Amino acid sequence: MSDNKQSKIKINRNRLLRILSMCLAVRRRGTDPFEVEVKKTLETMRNLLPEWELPTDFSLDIHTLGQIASIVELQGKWLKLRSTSLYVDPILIELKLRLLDTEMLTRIFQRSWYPIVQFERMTPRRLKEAIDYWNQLPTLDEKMTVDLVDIQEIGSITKEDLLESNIMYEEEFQGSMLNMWKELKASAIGRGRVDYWSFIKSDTFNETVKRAYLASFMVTYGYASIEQDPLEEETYLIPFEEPKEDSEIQGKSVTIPIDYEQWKKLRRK
Amino acid sequence: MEKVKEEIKHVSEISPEYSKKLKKAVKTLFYQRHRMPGVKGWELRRSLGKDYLTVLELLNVQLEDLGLTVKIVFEGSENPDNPSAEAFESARYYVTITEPMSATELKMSGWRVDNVAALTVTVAYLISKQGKAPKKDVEKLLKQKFPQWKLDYNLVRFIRQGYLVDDDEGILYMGWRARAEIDKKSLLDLILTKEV
Repeated sequence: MSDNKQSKIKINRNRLLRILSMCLAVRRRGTDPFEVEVKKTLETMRNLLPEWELPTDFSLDIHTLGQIASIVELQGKWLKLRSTSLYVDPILIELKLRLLDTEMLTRIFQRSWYPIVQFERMTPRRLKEAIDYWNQLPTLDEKMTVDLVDIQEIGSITKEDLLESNIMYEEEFQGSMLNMWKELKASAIGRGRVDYWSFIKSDTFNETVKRAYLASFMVTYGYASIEQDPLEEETYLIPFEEPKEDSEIQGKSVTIPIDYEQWKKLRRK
Repeated sequence: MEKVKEEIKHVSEISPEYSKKLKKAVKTLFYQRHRMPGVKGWELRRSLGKDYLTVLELLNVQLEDLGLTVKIVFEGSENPDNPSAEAFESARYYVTITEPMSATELKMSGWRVDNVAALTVTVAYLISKQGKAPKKDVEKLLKQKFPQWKLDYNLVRFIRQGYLVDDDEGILYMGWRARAEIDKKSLLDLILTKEV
């Protein structure tokens, strides 16, 4: 390819990139989509098309076309919004906002604000947990003695703790749990149940703990049940075809401890 | 109190099953279960059964007299015209008041007047820009009446409270709380009709 041609392709590629970045900027910033002159842009792209030779340029062309299509969609929405009673010219609103004083703005807010009503609660179960915690809490003197020895107490973490720490989000949690449920159902085909440890076992300790945690909520939320064979010392997960409602879930609590050493043993199996 | 008792009795007469579900719905919706207020549709379906929307309609009738309502906030920036069953399940449900607060009640809610004004300006500006705008544009508008430190403090606070959401690219969006609590049309109408 001659230098002249290469330079021409480079210029054309930049033109295409400019169109693409303009479309992306309009979508991203929510500005007026009519800033993109769709007809003119498509004509430019049509003229550029015979120049492309490399697959990457064709790919860029398709990608840009896709962005223009979404701009057309935005233009449709924009027109729809403008025809509704909710549309007001942003400049007019900005002008009014600049002129209104604090008192007036507060009065306006007061007449458009319908706050959420919600209460915090203390349940008998939480109270019992609090009392148990208090009773097992060592006194400061005892604690000073205990602290000299390196003893790790078993802790507990709830779903709310994870959500609160932003380690996991509600939607992510729900999605992960449903995926695991599907996986469990697939694994249990023909057998009806799956060995708990082989199901939660993963390549890393973190992932294994996460799977154990999700499995516990799968049981709590009625997507599966847990069965223990005390003689064989085996634990099984039994998936339900459809999630059961609260009233159908058996109120049974099973404690399954897991630590790093145990995970290493599982890995060796 | 007598009125509430009468209402409960009335519901019990309609159907003991629904009466039970109504009480459950009240507990689920009113008592905070997560860090964020409100309950997802799928949580309500799991707790109340497949007819959870009917239960909520019945509950709304009961709540109306108390000046409360169940507000549904769908995912996405706008409420869909004909929401599907999936849209209802992924939506978030809140109980809100139906009548605006009085000036005294607003003062008692702990909000400072200047903070309320900053929130009003920010939310109104975002609504006029279809729910999102560059953060620096909002700051430019607020800077006219607020010092920089106050502006930073307020924006962080509004984001923490759920009225606003920001992203890595410096765009501000209306948050879940603004969508649940603020009547967008009323806000814009009042701004436009207010005599200056």
